[in-house]
Amino acid sequence: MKPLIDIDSLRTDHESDEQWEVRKSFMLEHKDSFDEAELITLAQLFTNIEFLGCRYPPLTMKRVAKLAEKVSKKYKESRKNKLKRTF
Amino acid sequence: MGVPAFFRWLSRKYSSVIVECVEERPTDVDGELIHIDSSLPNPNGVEFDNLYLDMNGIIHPCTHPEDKPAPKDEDEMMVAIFECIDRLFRIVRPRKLLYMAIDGVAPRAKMNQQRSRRFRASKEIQEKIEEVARVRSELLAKGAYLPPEKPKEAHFDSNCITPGTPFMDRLSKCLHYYIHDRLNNDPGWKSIKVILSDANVPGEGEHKIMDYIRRQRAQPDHDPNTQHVLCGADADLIMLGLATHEPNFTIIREEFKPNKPRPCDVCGQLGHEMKECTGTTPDASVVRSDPAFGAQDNFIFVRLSVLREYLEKELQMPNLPFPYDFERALDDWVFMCFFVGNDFLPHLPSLEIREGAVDRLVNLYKKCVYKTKGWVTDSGDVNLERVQVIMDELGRVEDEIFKRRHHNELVFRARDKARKKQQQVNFKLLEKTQFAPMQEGSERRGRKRTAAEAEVEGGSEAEVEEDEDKHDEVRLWEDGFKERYYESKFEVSSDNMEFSAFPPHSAISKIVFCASIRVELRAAKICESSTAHYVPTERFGAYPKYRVALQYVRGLCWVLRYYYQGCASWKWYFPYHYAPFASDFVNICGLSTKFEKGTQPFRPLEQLMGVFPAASSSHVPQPWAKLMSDPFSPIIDFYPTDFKIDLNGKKFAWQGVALLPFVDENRLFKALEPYYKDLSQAESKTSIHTII
Repeated sequence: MKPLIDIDSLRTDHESDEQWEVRKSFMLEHKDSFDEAELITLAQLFTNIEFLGCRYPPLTMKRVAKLAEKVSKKYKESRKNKLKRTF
Repeated sequence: MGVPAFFRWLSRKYSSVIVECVEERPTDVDGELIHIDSSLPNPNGVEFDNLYLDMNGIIHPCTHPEDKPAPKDEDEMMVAIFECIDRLFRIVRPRKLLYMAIDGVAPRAKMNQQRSRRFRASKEIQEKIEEVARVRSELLAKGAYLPPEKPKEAHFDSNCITPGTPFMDRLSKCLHYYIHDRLNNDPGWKSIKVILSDANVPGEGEHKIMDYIRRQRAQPDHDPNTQHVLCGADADLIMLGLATHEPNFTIIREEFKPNKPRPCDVCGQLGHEMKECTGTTPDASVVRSDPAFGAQDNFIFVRLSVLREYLEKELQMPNLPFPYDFERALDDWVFMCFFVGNDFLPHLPSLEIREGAVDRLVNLYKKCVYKTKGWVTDSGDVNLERVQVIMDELGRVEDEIFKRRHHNELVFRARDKARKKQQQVNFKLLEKTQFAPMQEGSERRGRKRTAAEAEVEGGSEAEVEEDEDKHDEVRLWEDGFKERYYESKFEVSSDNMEFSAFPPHSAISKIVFCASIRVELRAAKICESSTAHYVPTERFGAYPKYRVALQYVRGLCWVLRYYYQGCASWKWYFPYHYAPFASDFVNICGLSTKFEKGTQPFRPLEQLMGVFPAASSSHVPQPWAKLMSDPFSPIIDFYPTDFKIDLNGKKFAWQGVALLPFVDENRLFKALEPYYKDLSQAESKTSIHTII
């Protein structure tokens, strides 16, 4: 059997509540489909794309976009009336 | 501190700190250059003892010069480096020691900046290649003549100037050869000691030099009148030199000349930007003949002994409630300068050197010393209670600074616009005269057009006006800027900023904050009693802006320690992309200034993986390169193929913040582990440190 992943232990020291909530819900959604290391990588990819605007190789982008569909929608909804960086 | 602004400020305010070097140029005898014998007395009137070279300041301009034609190949690069060292040697003529320090692996605090620079360099090169191709094809379509394109492989990737690359290894070998040759053949080198600290010795070049000087000073036979000369262009060398407290310390650097002519990237000629290029003619491509181009710059001496005299006047504080000591005041001055810029922390939003930030801080500082009744720093340690007093003062004027900045910007824009308007021919004045511009066709139609044009012009002007601030969502000059800053830059929603209900300096907000400070203190105790990693129990969540400020304060302590005692922790870094406001420094005195002991630097090859973008993967061992680009790599998140630059209220991309994810070193090492066995023997050798 796959070992259980303690999601709460994966929070980093400098994450804000908001950032952590988003990353956490991504990991909760997919925790049964991946091992811990891969789950962390995928969640980090997702937050880097969402918060920082990073771009990755096309295959990676596609993969993350598919996994993040639900969480991303919820996140975008929550940031709707919030101030965002302008580029 | 690479900021040219600091150097400009210093050389304007204390102009006699700088003197031009007397340089005896070689004489041409029957077509052969005969160099001066550097064992002869120094024409600068001083006999210097030790010359320290911060080699990266030489390697960069010699391998990819901005104002000269690029060297053809690596051999030419090496020769350029040798010639540059020779030239410096003949000017300074050290009699005892020549210390050459190449940057080794840097502390983690610096690696984030290196990573940002390397990712930016890759991005800029990519954009430039595309832009050159675009302009070229446009010009060729118009039938203009262009010199043939440079072959792709001829493009030098300056990212290879990083410890651990094959290039650095070759460079080190060449320098060994060079040193042996000069020791055997040059009379000026006869009786001196030469030390080469190459890229395999951990630490930044200038800090390896500082460690060496500190060790010398601790020797019982150290001569207090030693004449030191340090070569390098970074402004932080000034701070480092002052921090040694050596009375005879001089910095040598190339004369500071802004806006040097640069050849056009498309046609190779001077005098225009790539955008304005119209092509060239087959015989005009001899850019080398232009006298303004590639002319050898003069070197200047920055005499820290003179700067010390200036500062002694500037830092006078009569009737202090405790004994005055200039050396202590000087240390505090160095500390104040960290606030306006250093390589390890983003500078506070309210402090811009161009706006006189150093003078403002020093004035604040002097006022505060009377209140704090003591010095702010003590041989590299910071008294946080006293820093708090200064930050409180700065916090009080912060809003005003932002408002004034914006006001000045508006005035500047208006003036700029007026000037442009003046330069434009005002056709409206001619409208009813016989000189009025007329379209072919009826007069009526012509006039109608003018009116319509005027309208369009007016409209677009208003748009431009709006545009200029549109890209700044924070608007520091308007109320509520702090909430906007944290909401936009830190993703913190304003309802999570409990302080928004209270002004930051009110008693209530301080009480609210005390709860979290106590937790912080508890965490700090854990840190002191064990070697465990510093883990604050209270997280960023509830009090985001204070958390940022507390990390920033730890950063200031780290930087001062780094300058005065050496690297306090190889692991520590500032974990945010943005700085806090001065008014967010609340109750900082309880913060632990201890750092985890016994931390180790990255090994050179690991560090390469931490600072390079995938585009520079050719410089890392082949088995590792895949980790940077394989879509399924466990650390693919470290290597975005593209990233955003947040202008953050600034005008130019190079002033903006590169939004790159921070590298998680544990995950990096874990991902590399399975691949160590695939390294070649030579590569394994580079993956260990040598100690000098």
